[in-house]
Parts: sequence; C-alpha cells; structure tokens
Amino acid sequence: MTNQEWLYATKPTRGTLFLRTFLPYQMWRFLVLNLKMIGIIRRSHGGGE
Amino acid sequence: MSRIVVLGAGVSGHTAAAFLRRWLSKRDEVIVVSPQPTYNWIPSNIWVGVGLMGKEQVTFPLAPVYRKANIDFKQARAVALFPEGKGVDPQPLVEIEYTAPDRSGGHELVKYDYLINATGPKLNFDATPGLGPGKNSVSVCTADHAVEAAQLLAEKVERMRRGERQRFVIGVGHGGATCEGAAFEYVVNLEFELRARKVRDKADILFLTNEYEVGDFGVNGVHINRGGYVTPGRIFAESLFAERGIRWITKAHVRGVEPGLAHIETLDKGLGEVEFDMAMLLPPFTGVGIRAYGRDGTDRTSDLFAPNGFMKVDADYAKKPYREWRAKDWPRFYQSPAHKNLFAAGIAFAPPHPISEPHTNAEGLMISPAPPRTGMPSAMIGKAVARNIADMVSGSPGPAHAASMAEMGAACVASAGANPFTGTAASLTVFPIVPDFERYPEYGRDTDATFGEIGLAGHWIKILLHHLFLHKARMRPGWQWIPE
Repeated sequence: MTNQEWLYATKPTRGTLFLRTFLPYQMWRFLVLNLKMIGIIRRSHGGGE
Repeated sequence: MSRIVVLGAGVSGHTAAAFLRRWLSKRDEVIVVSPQPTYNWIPSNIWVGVGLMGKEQVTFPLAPVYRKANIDFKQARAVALFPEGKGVDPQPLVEIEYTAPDRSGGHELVKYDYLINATGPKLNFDATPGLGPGKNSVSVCTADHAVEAAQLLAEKVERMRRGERQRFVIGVGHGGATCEGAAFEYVVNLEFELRARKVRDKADILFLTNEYEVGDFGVNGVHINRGGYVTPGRIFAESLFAERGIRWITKAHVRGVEPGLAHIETLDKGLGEVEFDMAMLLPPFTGVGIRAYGRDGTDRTSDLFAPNGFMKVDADYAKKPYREWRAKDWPRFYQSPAHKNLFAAGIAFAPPHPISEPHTNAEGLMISPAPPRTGMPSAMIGKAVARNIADMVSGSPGPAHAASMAEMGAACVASAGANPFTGTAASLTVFPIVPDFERYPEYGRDTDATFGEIGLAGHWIKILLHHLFLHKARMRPGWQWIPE
C-alpha cells in the first residue's frame, strides 16, 4: 500500500532550506525560540493566565 | 511525621520525589519504588536508536542520587494497593515485589500516608501479534530497546553499503497507540543518518501512523500562525516528509507483524500489507496492572482504576460524544476521588477521553491516537502533586495547585537530524495542550502562543535540554531552578 499525497505536499524553497542552517540567522532564532518557550513555560506555571 | 510513597521514577515520579524531599521536613519520609535501577531521559532515546548516543548517555543509576538526597529507594514494582489498610490495621499500604537482583521476588508491605502513582505505562506489545523486541519489530521506548534498534540499523546500513536496497517502516504498531511524536522524530532522524552515512539512495522509508493526518500528534493537530495564514500543522509535517522522500500512511492499525511483513488496516483503504527489512513500531500503552483491595480483601480495582489500567482521578469520566468534550473534563489536581491521600501523575492517570477526534473501524476498534501525557506536562503534573501533598502534610485541607492539561501549554522540540551545523529540529509550542473551544472558539488554542519552525536553532535547544534535564534529574546544584 502506498499513498500519493506526498506528490502534492508543500515543499520548502531553496531560500527556506538555506535559512534553516544559516548560522547568523539561526543564532538569532535560538534567542527568539528560547524566549518564546520561556514565555509558554511561565504562562503554564501561572495556571494558564 | 508523614511518609510519602512514590511509585515510579520516570519524569513525573522522579520530579515529584525530588520536590517532595525539598519541600517536606527532614522528619518526613519520601520513598521511591521503581522496578528499574536507572533513570532514563526518554526523549534522547531517539538518538540512541540511530546510534548517535550510547545507553550510558541517557541513563544513570538512581540509588546514589536518592541516597545523597535522603530519599529511600526500593527497586521493586508495585503489585497491590490497600488504600483502607489491611485486616485490622487501617493504615494504607502498598504491596511491592522486589526486582533488585539481591532481593528479586521478595514482597514487602509499605505503609504510607500519601501515595503518588507515577508508574508510567505498561508497553503493551501483546496488543498486536508479532509486535515488539524479541519478535518482529524494534522500539525506542526504553534505552535497551533503542540500543537494539541502533544495532539493527547498523546492520541494515552495512547491507546498503553492499548495494542491497532496504525498506524501513517507522511509526506506531496499533490503532490505539500514542507517542506519534516520538515515531516522527525517529523517522526523520533515521533519514538524516542514512544521508550522513551516504546510503540514503538505497533506502525506502515509510511512516505508518494511526493519526488521521500526519502532524496530529495525539493533540488533534495544531494550527500555526505563519506567513500570513493560520496553517494546520499537517502542512508542515507533510512538507518535512516530502522534502526528505519519506512516504506515509495515515489512519492505520497494525493487525499483526510477521518477519518482514506488517498486516495493516486503514480507515480509508481497508486491509493491506507492508513489507519491510526493519520496522520500528511503538506499542500502545496500558496501566501497569496494579490491583486494589479493600480492608477485607475485596477487589476494588475497578473503583480506583479505569478499564485500561490507568488510575481514576478528578476528571469527568462520563462517556460523551466528541462534540461535547470540554476542557474542564480534564483533571486539575490528579487526586483519587475515592481516597484523598492517593494521587496519580504523568502517564499513570486515566485521561477522561482522547484529545484527537476519535475514529473507529467497522469492528469498533479505535484507530486514532491516545492522548500523550509525556515530557513537560508529565513533569509539571508531578511537581503540582508534590506541592499539594507538601501543603496537605502542613495542614492544608486539600490540593490548591492545579496542573490541568487544558490550562497549560507545552514546548516541544522534535529532532529532525543531529549535527551541530547541519542538523535541524522542529520547535513547537501549543497553548493549551488540550484544546479549549470555549476560551478559543476557532481553533481551541491561542494562536499567538502556538507556533512552530524548523531549523538548526531547534537542534541546539534540543542538545541544551538534554544536558539541562539530565542535570536536573541528577539533582545537581541549582536543579530546582530548571523549569519543567
């Protein structure tokens, strides 16, 4: 059994793939992602407010 | 003086025990009962399963950590609960059976004032004939399973280097399984490793899942605010598979596994077969099978535990259709309604219902994910239960610190390839974990707090979390400041 959905799936552009491992951009994202996750953790510990 | 017994030393039980020791006085006693002598940071088993880490990098012995922390450790499994006491003695107790080599098979009755059931699940490989280690597939549920998976993968890589084509089937091994996120991580890590070992062109990789759509992850999927659209997580999950040449089959139940052949059934295409050279299929979970008895020996298991073996807590277990599920159905304090000194934390508590919309086949078998209760929510529940017990020991009339999965978010980092420069991971947050359509009518979640992206930064975070959480679990200096 196989499916064909994969033929129609969204695929990333070369630019998107490049940014995924482009060090200066990823250092910035590291900072942003950490802040976002800390925000979720703080909100969760606060009972969802 | 109070005695608190914690059954289980996984993420939830270990977190609860550590905080109990910190919050209770020295006169109070904390006892951990766990059948395994080691702690296992399970999220990193994925990397063990592809051969990037050894077992010793994701496990450590519990006894020295507990000895130093003044926590009594019994390497044993819980067999039976006597929450009203036994015979003429009204003191609650739990019967345990030792698994430590020097006392293997020996039984002991351990009295308690408060008990936390944090045993985690029984890995129910028997639900699917032929499934599991020692049979026809591998798993990464435990460190030992992951080591076995890595050995099999290495063997397959050697075959590919000799020019043989190999077929990999990765996913879940039953229609009612959970942990689709772990299977997702394993399949993309395996694909990354095959590329790194320069044999990718010899591999056919298939993801086999009980999810209605990939990216469901047992939480009814997510909607992510990205690029000017609120986009279903399915788009990103399918994209990741498509760019890596991984095919997928959704809505699938595995009816049986033979050597090299999985018999499957899908909701939309009926019966079928999938051939493989290596299958990593995760099992469904049940409770570990603790029995419960009244003082006179009456079997009270069905009063305390749901039919799937997980412990009933302060949830609304009334059966109702999907459209009537509410966020408030989910427990807030994880306290047994039958006994105020009995709690369940982590996977051990019985969820009121799934989170994903359920689907069944013609025979009534559910083919959709069971709700995940691992990682961050598991630890947060363990900590909240510990806080409530510490308060009750100090005289508080009942629990006040809630940790409902419908009121907390989760941050999840799913590795998609481990390399400090070329690796990636999907960083995902959802808020709340259980959709609350009364509070967030459109998607059930706060789309400002639910996001996801793939990149190298996620891999760095994943590495950071691996070391931070092992540091925390080892109760090394400052452990209490590392968030769950």
